[in-house]
Amino acid sequence: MKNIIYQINGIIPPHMAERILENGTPGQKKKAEAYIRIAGQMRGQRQQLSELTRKSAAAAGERVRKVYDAQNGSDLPGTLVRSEGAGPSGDAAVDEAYEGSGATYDLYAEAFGRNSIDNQGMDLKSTVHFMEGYDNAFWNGEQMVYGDGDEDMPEEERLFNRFTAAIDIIAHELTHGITQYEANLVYRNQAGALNESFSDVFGSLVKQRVKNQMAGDADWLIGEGLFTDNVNAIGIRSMKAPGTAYDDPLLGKDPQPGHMNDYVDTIADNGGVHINSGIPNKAFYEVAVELGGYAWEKAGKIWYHTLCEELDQSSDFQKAANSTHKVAGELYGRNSDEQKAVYNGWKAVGIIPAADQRRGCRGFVSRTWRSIFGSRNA
Amino acid sequence: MGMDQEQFHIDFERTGGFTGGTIRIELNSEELDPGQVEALKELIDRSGFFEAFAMENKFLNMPDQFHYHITIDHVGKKRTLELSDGSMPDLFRPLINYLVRLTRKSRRS
Repeated sequence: MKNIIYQINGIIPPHMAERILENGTPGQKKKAEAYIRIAGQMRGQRQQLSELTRKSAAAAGERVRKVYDAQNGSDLPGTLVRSEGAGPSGDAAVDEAYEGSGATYDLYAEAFGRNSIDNQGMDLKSTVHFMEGYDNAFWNGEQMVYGDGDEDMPEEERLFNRFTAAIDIIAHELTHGITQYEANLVYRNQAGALNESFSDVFGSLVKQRVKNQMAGDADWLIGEGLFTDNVNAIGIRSMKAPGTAYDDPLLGKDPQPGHMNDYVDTIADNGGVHINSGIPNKAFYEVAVELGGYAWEKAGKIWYHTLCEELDQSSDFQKAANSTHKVAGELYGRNSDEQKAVYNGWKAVGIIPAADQRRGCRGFVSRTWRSIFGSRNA
Repeated sequence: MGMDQEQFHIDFERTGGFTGGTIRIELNSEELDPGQVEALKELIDRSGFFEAFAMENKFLNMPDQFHYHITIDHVGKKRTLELSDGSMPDLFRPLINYLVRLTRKSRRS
């Protein structure tokens, strides 16, 4: 029995088992459930596969949002000012953090079957009004933290609004939490740039979903509205056209590349994690627009499964390209329009996804599949 | 040879954060107004900058944090500290905040 479990754990990805849960016969579903349960146990704390077994729990799961006020100090989490179910507080930062974390929870739950940051229903904690003149937002491993921008400066000199003003920033920070529980990409060099990119991708998807936008209609900007009118900018980053979000006498020009030819080698910013993320960002944009429709339904699903099941701490851009291509094939079929779109998206930024490593093994996989689950028509 | 009691030199750099931008400033006490000199001397003293134990920065893997690189040369003593929002003792925050404000003002002048 152990040998069989080991074998199927190495061959059958969880999203494939998900399809069996949805479409298989009662007997196939029962076997798929058993596989998922055992495979999930084998993978320990990270529990990537548990998404499938917890689908019913996630559907029944409830958001638990808690927003705290640091009152311009640095003690975390601060004073609890709005809990799940409570009405608006009247404080814009508090209410934006509450609504934004709710919209993020909803995307992950409803589009991907995920139950919160850790897939176990973890509370979504946010602290606003962190310090004075704190022009930043970050995920500290346990919660989200937001500053009010540079509100301590005279109005005509301010560059930043409060960091809850853009919903994609909230979703970006929360996604850092999800990455921590999944691939746990090291925050340095290409792995760190992928960490940043996944946060931008799902940040943008939350924004598009709230606005009910199709991929072709979205602006693909990150942090729109974060800069004040004193800055010549349309956002912090552009996934559609990296390097074009701002060009300002004080801040300089957006340094993001959108192609490997322009990759920036630097030791600053943990090896350019916020700079070179423009490359995978652009690849995702290309895939989503080629596929059309709502970007979270196909492109987002491919990226989500890749983050949860394929990448690890040290993954680089090439690994991400290979893995998204592989996952697209598994989800939608080899040479499907979806897999071709993934190939084209990475090619557009100068990275060619490696050929599917399972080429030639198809018969073996099919035989193994049938030996475990039987014929789909059985 | 030691520096004059009133003289100090500070190199300050902040990197990272959500935007990934870098700000930096170099300060010489003789180029600051007397109020700024007094404020900085007090903040350096109150932070225990030269007395604090060396801190290992264990928080470099924390996404979107600010990282601070500070070198202070004061009264013949010179020290460099690397801090981040996750590792910084509260005693350092007033000094960091003041340096950030001075950096912002200098960028706009």
